[in-house]
Amino acid sequence: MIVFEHVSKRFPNGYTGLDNVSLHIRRGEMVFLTGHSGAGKSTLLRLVLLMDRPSSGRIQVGGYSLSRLRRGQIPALRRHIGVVFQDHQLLADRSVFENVAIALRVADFYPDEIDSRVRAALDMVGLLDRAALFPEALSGGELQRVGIARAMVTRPTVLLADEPTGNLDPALSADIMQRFNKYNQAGMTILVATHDLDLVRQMGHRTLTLEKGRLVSGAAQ
Amino acid sequence: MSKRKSSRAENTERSSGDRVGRVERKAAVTTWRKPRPLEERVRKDSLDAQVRAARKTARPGRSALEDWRWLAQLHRRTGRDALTRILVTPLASLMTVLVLGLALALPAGLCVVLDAFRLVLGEGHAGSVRLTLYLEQGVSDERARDMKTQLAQDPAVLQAIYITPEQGAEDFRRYSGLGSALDLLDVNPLPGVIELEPVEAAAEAVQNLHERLKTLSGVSQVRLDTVWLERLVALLEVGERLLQGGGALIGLMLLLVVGNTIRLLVANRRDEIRVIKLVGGSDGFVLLPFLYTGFWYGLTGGCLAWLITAALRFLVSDSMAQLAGLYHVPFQPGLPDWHLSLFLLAGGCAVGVLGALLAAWSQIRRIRP
Ligand SMILES: Nc1ncnc2c1ncn2[C@@H]1O[C@H](COP(=O)(O)OP(=O)(O)OP(=O)(O)O)[C@@H](O)[C@H]1O
Ligand SMILES: [Mg+2]
Repeated sequence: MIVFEHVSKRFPNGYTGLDNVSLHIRRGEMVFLTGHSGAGKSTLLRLVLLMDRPSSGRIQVGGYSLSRLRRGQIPALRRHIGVVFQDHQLLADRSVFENVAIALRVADFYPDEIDSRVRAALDMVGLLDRAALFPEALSGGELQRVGIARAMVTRPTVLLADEPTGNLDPALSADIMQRFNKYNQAGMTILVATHDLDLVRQMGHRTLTLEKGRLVSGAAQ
Repeated sequence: MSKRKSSRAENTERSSGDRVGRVERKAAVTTWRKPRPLEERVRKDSLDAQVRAARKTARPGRSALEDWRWLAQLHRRTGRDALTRILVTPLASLMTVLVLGLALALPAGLCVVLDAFRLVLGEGHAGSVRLTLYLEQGVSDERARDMKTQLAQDPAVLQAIYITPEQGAEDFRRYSGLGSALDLLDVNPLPGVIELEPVEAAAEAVQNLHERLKTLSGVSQVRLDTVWLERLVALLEVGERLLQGGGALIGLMLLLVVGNTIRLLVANRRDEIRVIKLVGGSDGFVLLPFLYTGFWYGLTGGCLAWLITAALRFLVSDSMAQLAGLYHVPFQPGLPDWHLSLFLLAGGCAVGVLGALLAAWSQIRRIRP
């Protein structure tokens, strides 16, 4: 589903974010991505989402070579990738409900369908009673859960989660991970970037480890 | 067009191969699409199908009717949201709307002036030519009446009217507003006047008649009224040219005004646009609200311009009626006619949408998540 072939990312300031990374995540697989802060986890996820282009190497998502996608195809691809961002990326001037609904609106769902789906997604992360609030009124953990709800609400083919449980307590983290597991069993391909090694061990999925931009373990399995 | 068709064909082809039954698909036309089961949505080919189709609104298995319905809802919602946004910050929008309204009212005001000219040149008047014979001071009233009767019998003359000096003074008093100037004089300085309407209005015939009348005894001066007519026609032409040229310039200016406002809005909502693009919003999806904002600006600006024009017409309607009375042409005061109304409203909307499109499109395309 996600294939990296000798991918490197050098930033304009000369810093190497990713160094010759090759990996293959199969359809329906759930994989963890770990590494110290600054190892390049977010950089890798950004490349999958086409937020950045690699300096060299090839990336394929769903059989599509990202460098060959036409401009008009990029939004269509992104609609199939749910993303939980490390920095939430929520709209400050829209309610929690609208923040989750936006993912459905861009994917042309009908209003009544949007309503029920958003409610279900907010219920899943335990924020149904916060639906009318604005992001500024929420705690860090709550913001993160809104991000999770937005990523899951479209039932994407691929889920990328960057530190989805960073601000959550252990019980809530475990609960969210169980959800991810369930969706994974239903066929969703999931890539979770996290520092939380305990969580990774508990779940027992394949783990990719990055170190200073280089993939040091988990590439082949 | 053919691309659109083929991608749709591909979609239907795919959906007919779907596990979704025919009955269920039929039901989807009349009721809104039910959420499809998760397994189906993540099934092997769904990503391929959609990315390849790359249509912003295409979802496999949706009928044309559903597409339309969805599109109508999208527009209704987006239009309403854009209006709400404007109303939430009315002061910021007020400037733009005022500029639009005032600038659109300029050509409309010129239209009102041109209408006044056209009124004077109105039907049945534009073709008619009048010759005015100013009699010498010594000519008696009786003699003047004789001259008028004779002239009326001339085969080249359609109609002749004698206006006595007293009548002339009376008219002067009534229409010029300078009547008291006459009272200062002991004697009435105005000569008797005979007004003629020639049978033929062609320039040559009128010129012949003109020459002939000049030689009549007792006539001090003959004035041919086509001169002012020609001047007025020329003036009207200048006015119309001005309206076209000025209109184009004003249109351009308004595009810039709306464009600039929208450009600022896009810049202010940069972060929001980035997020929408991250979750898969296309450039078109991001653009639509801005087009609606431009549309509402244009429409309100057009309405304002209409009000200004209506007020302007109301202000001049008294003088217009007087003018019309002078030239014996009918005049009806009232609201701007539908041509002008359509021009203001449609022109306002067009300028708003086009200005927004020109300003926002390239800018939105350049924003990268
Ligand atoms: N735009 C950029 N320009 C220059 N350097 C960058 C840029 N973005 C990221 N980096 C650098 O690349 C490295 C990897 O960053 P990245 O965000 O991928 O780390 P991470 O593994 O996600 O860390 P964390 O766990 O703290 O989120 C960092 O050292 C960072 O400073
Ligand atoms: Mg990170």
